[in-house]
Amino acid sequence: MKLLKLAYRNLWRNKRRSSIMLAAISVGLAALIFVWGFIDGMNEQTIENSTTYLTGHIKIHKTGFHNDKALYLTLPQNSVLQRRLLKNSHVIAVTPRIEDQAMLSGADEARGVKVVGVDPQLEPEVTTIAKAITNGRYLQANDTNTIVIGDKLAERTGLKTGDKAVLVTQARDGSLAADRFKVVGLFDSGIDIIDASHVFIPLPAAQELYSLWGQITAWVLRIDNRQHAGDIAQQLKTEIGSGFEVLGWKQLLPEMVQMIRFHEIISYIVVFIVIVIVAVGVTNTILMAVKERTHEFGIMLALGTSQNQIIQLVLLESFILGIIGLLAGNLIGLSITHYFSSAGIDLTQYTQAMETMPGLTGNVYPLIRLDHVLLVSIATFTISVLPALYPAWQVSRLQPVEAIHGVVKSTTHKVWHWTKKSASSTQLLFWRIAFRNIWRNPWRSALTSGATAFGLAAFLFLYAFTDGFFEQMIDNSTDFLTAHVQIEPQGYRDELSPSLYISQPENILSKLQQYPSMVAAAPRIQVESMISSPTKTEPLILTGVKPDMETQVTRLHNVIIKGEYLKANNKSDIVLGKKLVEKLDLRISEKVVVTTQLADGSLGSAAYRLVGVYQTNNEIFDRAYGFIGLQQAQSLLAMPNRISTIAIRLQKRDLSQSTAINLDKILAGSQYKAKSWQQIMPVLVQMIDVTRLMFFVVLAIVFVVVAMGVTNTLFMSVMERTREFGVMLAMGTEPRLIVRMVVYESIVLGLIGIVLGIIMGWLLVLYYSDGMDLSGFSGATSTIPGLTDIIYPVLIIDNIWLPTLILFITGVVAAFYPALRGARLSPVVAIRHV
Amino acid sequence: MSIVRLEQVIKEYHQDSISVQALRGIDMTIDKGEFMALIGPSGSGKTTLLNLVGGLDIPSSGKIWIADKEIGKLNKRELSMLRLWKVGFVFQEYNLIPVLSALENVEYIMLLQKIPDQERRQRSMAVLAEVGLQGLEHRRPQELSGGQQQRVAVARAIVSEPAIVLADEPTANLDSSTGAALLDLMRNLNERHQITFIFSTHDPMVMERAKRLVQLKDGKIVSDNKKSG
Ligand SMILES: Nc1ncnc2c1ncn2[C@@H]1O[C@H](COP(=O)(O)OP(=O)(O)O)[C@@H](O)[C@H]1O
Ligand SMILES: [Mg+2]
Repeated sequence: MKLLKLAYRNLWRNKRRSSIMLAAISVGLAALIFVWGFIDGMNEQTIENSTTYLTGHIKIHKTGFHNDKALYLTLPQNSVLQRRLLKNSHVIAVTPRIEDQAMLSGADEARGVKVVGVDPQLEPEVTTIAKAITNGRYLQANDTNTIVIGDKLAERTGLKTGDKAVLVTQARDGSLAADRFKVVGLFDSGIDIIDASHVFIPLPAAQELYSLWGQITAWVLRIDNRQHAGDIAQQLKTEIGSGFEVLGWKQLLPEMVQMIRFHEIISYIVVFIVIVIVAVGVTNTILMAVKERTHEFGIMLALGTSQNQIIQLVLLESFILGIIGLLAGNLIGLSITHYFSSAGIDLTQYTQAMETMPGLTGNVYPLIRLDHVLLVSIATFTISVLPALYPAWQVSRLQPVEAIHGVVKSTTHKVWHWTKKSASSTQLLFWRIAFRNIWRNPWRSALTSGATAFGLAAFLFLYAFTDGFFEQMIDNSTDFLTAHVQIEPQGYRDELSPSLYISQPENILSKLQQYPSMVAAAPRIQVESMISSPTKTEPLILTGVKPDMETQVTRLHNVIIKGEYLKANNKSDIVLGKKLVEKLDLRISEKVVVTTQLADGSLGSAAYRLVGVYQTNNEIFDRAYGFIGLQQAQSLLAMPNRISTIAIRLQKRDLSQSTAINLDKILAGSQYKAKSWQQIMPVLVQMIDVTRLMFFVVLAIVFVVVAMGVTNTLFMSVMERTREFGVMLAMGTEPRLIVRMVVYESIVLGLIGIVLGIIMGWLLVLYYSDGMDLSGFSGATSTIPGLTDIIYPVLIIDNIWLPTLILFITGVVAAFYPALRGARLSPVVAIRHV
Repeated sequence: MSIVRLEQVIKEYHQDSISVQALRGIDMTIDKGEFMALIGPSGSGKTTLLNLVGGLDIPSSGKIWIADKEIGKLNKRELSMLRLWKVGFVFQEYNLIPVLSALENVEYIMLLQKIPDQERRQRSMAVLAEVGLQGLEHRRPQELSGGQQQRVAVARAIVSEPAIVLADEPTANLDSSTGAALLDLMRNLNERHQITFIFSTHDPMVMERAKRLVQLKDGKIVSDNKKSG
């Protein structure tokens, strides 16, 4: 007990040092709690929205349906199974569904959609799309051919409530089926994927459309606790017997689960960075505190205090600080997180990019997860107490006489005489003093610049990683698909409709010939359509190209893995992506039928022969696109001599924006517009912005912690040298020179840290220059347009010099506080200080 | 010719609401070339008096002139300049800047005074030789013995030819023969260069060599004896 009192008083005695340490612990901890809360909130929102709006918690299919989605894998719609499911006490509600693809035609547009046939009464007990109706009404019990669609889809197809829409699809028997539906309601779930591509119709109407009378494709369940979906699915599986696949949401949404895992890895990295830096700050402080009191410990030893008691005292002191830091950090972190968990963090500026992550909207509501709070608390506490062990152990080995005599002599390291030349100005001398002071306590300096270096290296690497990520995304997107600039009719990008076209492409093409930075240009037609094999139907963005010109602009012909690319004068050939070919279950030279809506609103379709399969390794490219000859597309769409866009390749990608502006001037007066890749893929640009934003958060945290570390070290080194400063002041050194000296030290420390950090970060990047294989998260990365599973980190100087500079300045500015403390010392008091 | 003059000097320290009168009315004049010792028991005010005379601190009341400047009227910067040009200090221990060599420690003051490279170098080397440290110029303080360190401190204090050199118990941490040698050195310098030295001490050896002894008790002067010769 006496020891406790002593420890407590010791902490009070040096309030400033104690508060520096407290600040390091509590700010670090608070930052960790908040960052993790933010990421957890994002993940939770993703899961919650995706499951409650659409997917449900558990689905039951006929065995094999999940992988194949074939309409012969159906279940009878009988209430026996339904009742048996409801017997399980965890199951709250069960509803039947038919889920498949179709093409939705509105007044002027057609889109590939996911059709969900639902029981209008049971469905709202399982999912909540009915609550998201913003216009009109939800489906009702005795509706026949009614449909509700997402607001985004309504916008793109031009449909309004009250309009008639047509669903065209392939029925169970392989025949083409179509039916008319009346739009009775629009919904807005805030989730892009749902709002832009899902439609809901009554189950009987779906059974009629797909020729699935009395059949369904899935039972969808809501259970009492989503966390236990896996276990409950397992239970149900044994309860209902064989022939079924029972899938929890994690299996139903594997890409989401992988994305969440990806987020979690990023959280762990951030946690790791912060913890390392905090640990260094705390270690420094404790080492210093112990060293400063050597004399005192000597006296205690001489008075008969046992060595164990001294160890206990030192440990107790850091223990008390750790506890207080823990409480303060939790208090700050939890209150901030709690505040934002109800207020939300407004990222609506980046809505589009956020919504590419399924289930996310523009507002993020951080979530406090007790297990994570506990984990970071324990980690922070441990690193704030652990560093005390070493100095405590050192103290216990002190000889009382030596200790009383004063400082443990720092004779352990040799004095290096770099130069015998004397400095020719105070400036030079102070630099020299700064260098030597840093060398004087090499461990402490190493820890501090090491922490700076570590923070910077980690940051640089993360940055390089994401830059690699984005470079690849942009490169692949422009190389395979969008090219650098496209010229297209005004408004075309939002509609992809054959009613918007360029009528005399030759004129524009010839004008382009003179444009200096242009490498090649190719005319194209692009429309939304539906592609059917004998057994399956999938949505398709059909692209008509002139093979000889297209190959000058994009490089898809380089990634053909089976068959060959389109020939210049082919009759009816089509090239498809690997994923789509797998989904359609196709082989080379088999026939497919493509159906699309013409400019006059009628449907057109034509048969093509598969001649080639490409693989970009990007999920979307490999699944959503198909290429035919331009003439074939023109004849399918009944638009001879017309095209939708002209894709342009430039000498350098960087020229896209300026070129688009220049071309717009050339095109002034026409209804055509030039669009850079940034305008063609705004989502990509926003995604880059979001990631940058996240990085700024990480950066800010790293800065705060580094600044605290530097202040801490310099502060201690100033306090240690109180007497020395006293002597300098007595000899007539002006206080501002003392400030300068300390600031020089921080500059040297900062430079060492930054150079080391850049080298470390650069080496890491170099090490991974052959690519980082993320196939473990393949679902998560390759669903992002343009991205594959292998990321090649790149250091882009333009992106990193500023953060590096800011980090350096932060460190130097942080030095001013201790520097001023040193300069404001009264010489009389300072000299009395031993 | 007086170099330091004190008139009714009182110094009070305030610490945690208790105030201590360290000096209670000191009147004194010190002439150029004196070799003077302040003696008295611990806590009698010796250090306080030296600090005031060196312009490290200002009196609570009363007046002090150093080289014809009244220090109560100077601001911090001017005090700093006064110390730089007029005063040299030798403290009891840890006098030197540990990261600088003996030579650099001596040169430090002249660097602040912006004395040209060559002159600075020459004078520093000469002074170090004069205090008997030839060949040890490039050693760091931790590579020197206690007596050698004090010699460097003395060299540094006199190198820029100040009006007064103040030494607060300079021999307290030295063995007696080393202490005696240091004192002989200072005495020598005093005689050859007419530098004014003021000591505080407990050391009988110092008292023996001093030409004037001022005895303090409880912040007052109780005796002031000049030796002749
Ligand atoms: N900075 C200070 N703050 C408070 N009290 C002080 C301070 N400096 C000296 N004193 C007090 O003033 C008195 C004289 O001290 P000092 O001049 O150091 O005596 P000496 O040097 O003769 O031992 C003592 O009582 C001492 O405690
Ligand atoms: Mg004293």
